[in-house]
Amino acid sequence: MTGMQLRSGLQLRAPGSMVPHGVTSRDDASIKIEKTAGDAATGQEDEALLSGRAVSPQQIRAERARVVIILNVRAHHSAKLRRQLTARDMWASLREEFHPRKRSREITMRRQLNSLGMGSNESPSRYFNRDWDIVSLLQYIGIVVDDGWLLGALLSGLSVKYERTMELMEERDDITVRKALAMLRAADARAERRVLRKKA
Amino acid sequence: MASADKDLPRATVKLDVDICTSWSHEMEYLLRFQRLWGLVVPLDHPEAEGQITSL
Repeated sequence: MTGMQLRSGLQLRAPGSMVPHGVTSRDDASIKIEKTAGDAATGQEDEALLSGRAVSPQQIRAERARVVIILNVRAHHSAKLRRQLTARDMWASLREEFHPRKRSREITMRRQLNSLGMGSNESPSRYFNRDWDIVSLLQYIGIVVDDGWLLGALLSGLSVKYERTMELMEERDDITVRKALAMLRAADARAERRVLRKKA
Repeated sequence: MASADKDLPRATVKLDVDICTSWSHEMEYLLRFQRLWGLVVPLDHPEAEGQITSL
């Protein structure tokens, strides 16, 4: 008998059952390859080797994932995370603790959409794109933003220089987000032409 | 980051409360790049690798 299989899936080797001199077992070889790949050694792989446990490549990869995660959180969080034994548990724990809840994200993004304002030097296209970004984030969590809501939010944040254009939009019944953008671009083009005429 | 290899992607900042979404995206990319993502996602995820025991 050369060893015993534990319930955890790890294999304990009997002291006299080492592989012949000069021959490396498959598991040991895989550990060597993994460790020379330049990745973090946790000491646990060495411990596993020293205690004669067979460690599968998948277990080594899982440990590497765990180390990658733990090295990328701040120290005060990592102390808590060390209790999680697998990368999967660690990721789930982080998600549980930090990932914004759907409801709070929804409220935050609704507020962002409704309070978005156009910058003084911002073009209409850029301003609309910022709004569409928030719309797509809301859609990602299952909130559908209809054209009317988006249009209201966009127009309320428009710069004062587009006031005349806004009045024109209000007079139209068929105004949509795309038509509003086209009208704002046209207003910009008119303003540019006026400036050029003045210069001439 | 775990690796000293310069070719590997790195997370720009360590996780803290207000940057969870961007951090998790960076980490997902990093773990995917190292082919470790399947060991991190929940078991019912289509990309999940099988159940493993800790070292």
